[in-house]
Parts: sequence; C-alpha cells; structure tokens
Amino acid sequence: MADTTRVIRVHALARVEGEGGLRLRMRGDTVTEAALDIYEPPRFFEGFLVGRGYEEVPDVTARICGICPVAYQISSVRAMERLLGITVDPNVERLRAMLYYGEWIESHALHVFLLHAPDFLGYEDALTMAKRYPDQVEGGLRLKKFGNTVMRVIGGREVHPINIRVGGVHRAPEPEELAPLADALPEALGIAETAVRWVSRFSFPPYDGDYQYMAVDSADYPLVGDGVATNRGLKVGVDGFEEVVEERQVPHSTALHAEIRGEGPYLTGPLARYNLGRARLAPRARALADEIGLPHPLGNPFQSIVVRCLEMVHALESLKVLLAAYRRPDAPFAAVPLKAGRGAGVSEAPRGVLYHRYEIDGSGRILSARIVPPTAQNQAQIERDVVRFAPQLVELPQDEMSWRLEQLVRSYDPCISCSAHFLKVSWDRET
Amino acid sequence: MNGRLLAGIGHPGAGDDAVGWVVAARWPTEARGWTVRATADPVAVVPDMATAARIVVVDAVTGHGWRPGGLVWLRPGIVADLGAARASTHDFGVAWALRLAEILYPGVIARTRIAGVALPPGAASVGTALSASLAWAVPRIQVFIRRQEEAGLMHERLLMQSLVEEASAQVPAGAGRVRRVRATVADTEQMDPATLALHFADLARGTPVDGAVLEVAVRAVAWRCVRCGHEWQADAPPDACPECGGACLPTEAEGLWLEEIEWDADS
Repeated sequence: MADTTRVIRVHALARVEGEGGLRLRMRGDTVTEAALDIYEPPRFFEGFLVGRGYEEVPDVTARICGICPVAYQISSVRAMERLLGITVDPNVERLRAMLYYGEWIESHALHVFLLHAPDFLGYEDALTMAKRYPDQVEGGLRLKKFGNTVMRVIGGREVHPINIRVGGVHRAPEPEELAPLADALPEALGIAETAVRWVSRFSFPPYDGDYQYMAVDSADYPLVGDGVATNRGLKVGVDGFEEVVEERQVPHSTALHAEIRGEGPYLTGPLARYNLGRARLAPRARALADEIGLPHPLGNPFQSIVVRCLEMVHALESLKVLLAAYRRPDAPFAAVPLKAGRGAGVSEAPRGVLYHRYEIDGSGRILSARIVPPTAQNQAQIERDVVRFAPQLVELPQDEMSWRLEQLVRSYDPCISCSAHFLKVSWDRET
Repeated sequence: MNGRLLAGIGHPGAGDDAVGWVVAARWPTEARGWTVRATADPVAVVPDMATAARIVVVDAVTGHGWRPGGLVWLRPGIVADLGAARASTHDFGVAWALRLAEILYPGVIARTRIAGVALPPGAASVGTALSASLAWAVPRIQVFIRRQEEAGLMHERLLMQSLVEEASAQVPAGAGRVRRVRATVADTEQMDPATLALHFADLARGTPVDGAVLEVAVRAVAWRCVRCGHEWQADAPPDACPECGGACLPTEAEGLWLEEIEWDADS
C-alpha cells in the first residue's frame, strides 16, 4: 500500500445543495492533493447589484439561494441600515428573528432528514431510508413544513419571502395572524426533541478537526450581531471583517476560498455556533445537550447533525418566546435618510456566517457590493479535513472510501449554489 | 381519508414556470372541498398527502412539442420513469416527492393525478409574468382539473365562460360584428361541440362576441410509450402501453384552444 497511488473522484456530490465534486490523490497513506470542485456556474450577483438602488438588495440577494434566502435578506438590510444609521423597531426585529428561525428549521430539517441521516444509517438516499424509518422521515417533513409555514405567514412566501425591506418589513402582521404558528409549535418542538435523541445515537467516525471557529458575536446564541468572534480570542466589528478575512481564488472552484489572515482556514456554521454559544442555547436545548452528553468543545464535524437538531429545538423555543412578546409596531418600517457611505452586516445563515458589504452614493445607488457566504468560508477547511481524514480510510475499498469522504463533506451542509459567486474562472484540471 | 388536495408547483417569480403555482393561487373560491397549496417546494406538500382522498399536482411540463398552455395528464405510472433519486437538492422535484409520499403513505400515487401544463419552447423565466398563452389557459386548466374530480360540475359552461372572455379580449376596438369563433378540443376531453356552442351563445350575450357562431373541431390525440416508444390512437386516456405496460404521454397536449376569430371590417 505504501507506494500505491490512489485517485478518488466523486464527480457529482450527492445530497448537497448545488453542483460540486471532490477530487483526491493519495500516495500510500498520504494525501497529496484534495480539492472540492465547485463547478456550479458563477452567479455574478455582486456585479449586477452595482448600479441598482439600495432598496433592491433584500429581494435581489435572496435569489442567491432557495434554501436560505432570509439569511441574504437579513445580512443585506443590516448592512444598509448600519450604513444609513437606521434603528429598527424591537418588534420588527422580533418578526425578522422569527422569520430567520423559520428558515433555520426548514433548512436544518431538509439536511438532517433527507440529506445527512442516510449516511449514518447506511442508505443510499432518503427514499430507501424512509422504508425503514418512516416515522423519522415523516417527522422531518413535518418540521420542514412548520419552518415553511413560518416563512409563508411572516415572509409572504415559503421560498424567497417578500416582506423584508431596508428599515423594517413591508407589512407587520397582527399578533392573531401568528396564532397558527403558536398552535403548531408544540408538535414541532416534540419532533425536534425526539430527533436530537435519535441522531445522538448514530455512530460517528472518530475525528477531531481542531478548528478555529467563527460565529457572529452576540450576547445571545449567535443569530445576528455587529461583529464576529472566534474560539481563539479574535473579536472584530463587522466593519473590520475584510481586514481579518482574506478571500482568494483557486483554480478548481467557482467559489472563493476564505482564510483568517495569517492564520489559515476556519470553520463557521452549527459547530462554531455551538462551541461559541452553548451557554446561551435556549433552556430545553441546553438540557437536551446535557442529557445526551454532547461534548463541549465539540470538534467532530460528523456530529454537526446533532447540533443541527439542537438548533431546531433552540429555534422553536426562541420562536415561542418571540411570539409571546410580539406586539404590532406602530410603523412597519423606519424612515430611510439617504446618504453616501459604506456599510457591512453579518448574520448566521443555517450554514454559518454570512457577510454583506455595500457602498452607495447619495442617491442610494450601489457603487460596490461584496458577499461572503458561509460555504465559501468553509471550503478551505473542508479540503484540509479531507486531507486529514482520508488516511484513516486507506484500508477500505475504493467505493466505501469515496462514500465516507462524501459523508464528511455533507457534514458541513455545503450550499454550493450560494458560494459560486466570483467573476473570473480559470480551469486547471487533471486529465 | 377525505377531501381533495390541489398542489400547484412553481415559483411565483419564475415566468411561465410559475404556472402550477398560479393555477393553485387563483383557484376559484366557489370550488368546495379542496385543500389548496401553492408552493415552489414539492417536498413541502408530502405531509398533506397522507389523508387526502384525491390529489392533483399541477406543474409545468416541457420538451415533447406540446402546444403551449395545453394540459397533459401524466398517469401515475410515469412517476417511476421520471427523475433521479440520488442527486442534489436541485432534483427534489415532483417525481421524487411522490416517490417519498408513496413510501410513507402507501397508495398515494394511485390517488394522485399530475396535471402538466405545457410551456412554450424557450419559455422566459425569472422576473416575468405568464405569457399570454398560459395566462389564458389557467382558468381552463382549473376547469379540466375540477371536471376530473367534482361530480356534477357544469364544466362545459365554465370552459365556455373562459373562451368567451379570451375571444372578447382579442376583438379590437371598432371591429364590426363577430361572425365566427373557431376552437379545437382534444377527443380525450369527450366533449360535445353542439353543447359547447349552446353555452357559448348564451354566455356571449352582451359581450364583443355576441351572436358569433362557435365552431369546435375535435382533435384526435395519439399516445406514445415513454419506455418502448410505441405509438397508438385512443380516444380515452390509457393507463399503460398495450405493448409493454410502460407509462405513456400524449403526442399533443389535451385541452381546448381558441384558434380563430372572424369579424366584419366595419362596425
């Protein structure tokens, strides 16, 4: 085995959002090359935002993703509101948080039950898994439906909601319009709690990523904030994000790779939020983490499926509190005093930190835009993990090794459609 | 198990590809006994399929030369021949959702009909409204769906209401008397042209097509097996290919179309 060269190519990763592949070359037990090929066409969103009005950002950027459009809406309006000095009504913030948690629930339910769980139970896909685990899959679909319902009731649509605007929301519902959510919430919470216990009993390959984690810096469990923080003591306000995070182009990907300057790859997403925010989980979620004995800190990416389930519990508990506290604001949105400037915003998409930065002129026309999605931030770390994890698999047959590596990549729930957004593409591929 | 579920699939901002969503979102309020879901996500309606006695899924279809706005009833057997199960979330389509529903709630596929609405070739997508051919087709698609599921519905009258509205909109201001309206209907709809003409004459009163004669030609629909390619003629929708048992598609869309209007030059 020592002198054997093995090439593993997963041409199309299954059960991920978007289109990508994985390429690995090993010599003996050593990985000589690992590349997450992201060949989804470039999206050019930052380019075609230039010249458009400031007010268009939530609806244009939402189209980057059908799974996490609210993340794009929230990061974009927070950037604009910071730029323009707008303070948003607390009840509008509550509405936005509820909408965002709805997205977390539908996105996490999709990933846990339809994309990732089959890996741990030895099934090709959710269809074959559903024959043996119909109750779990149906529960997952009901959770997802609850998340979709939150999106529809507050956002106006299940996919690409239309209610978010700079300064607030277009329409603030009456509290009684939200009553169906409160009625359906206990069933969803029960399903999510059962899911935590179910996935916690999966068998997880041993691996510790020894990560530098990054999450939104917040007094609450990370969702929105004005900066980011890492587990190694880095704290930076949102205006300093680009001084800390460096993006670079790599030949094999239409997504940029991100690194912390001078320190290298980092990880964002559920594991980062859990490691940085465990003490601020909602009480039931925290008690469940204790009950299942989930380690903290947690460095095994395969166990992110457990954290996603915990985060669904957290989101549902948070929704319950927000629903009870919500009062219809006097005005659904604040006045927008236009001025030239530059502003940035961050929030926690289901897959991690999502950064937006805009520059506008005095009439509100966008002069430049920059979007750093979580999958692009995680890509370098994913490749590093593949390099470190693959040597554990050298004794396995090629098919099983490929499958294990795919399982690892799926642990990060990569959203490839979101990440493929840079402008120049040059290909350098093996033949 | 009770009630009927209508699931209209499409993205409301995606031009003609939104047609399934539009059929559901504009579902007539007088239609009783329906649970209606308009969604871009077929998987989202799977839980709703558990208890529905009858299910109709409406989605855009393309690729077989079908006339835009036409209705294509996809028989349950086609589900097994559509879509891929192991792929990215971009492939979580109608066929995948129905397969999953069948596993969770056996018998769903037998209770389901898929109403495909044919798109124009190269249909525009993001950010546009429905093209004219599809916009006019929506009310008729709704009638054809209700006709399948609601016993005793006066579907001829509803169809002619839609035709009168479409024809009236096509008559230019200042046109003379409208002499004739020509339409075609698929033989699979099993409609009597004389009955349609009676309803048309009644409903046209007071409209720009008042007094026009309606001529309805019946189009024969052929069928093609998606598995073996066998083609044959049948005046009722077949469930399976007589040669191999595979699922079949019509060679042209079913439904009813306005073909021509003839009016006098001077008013």
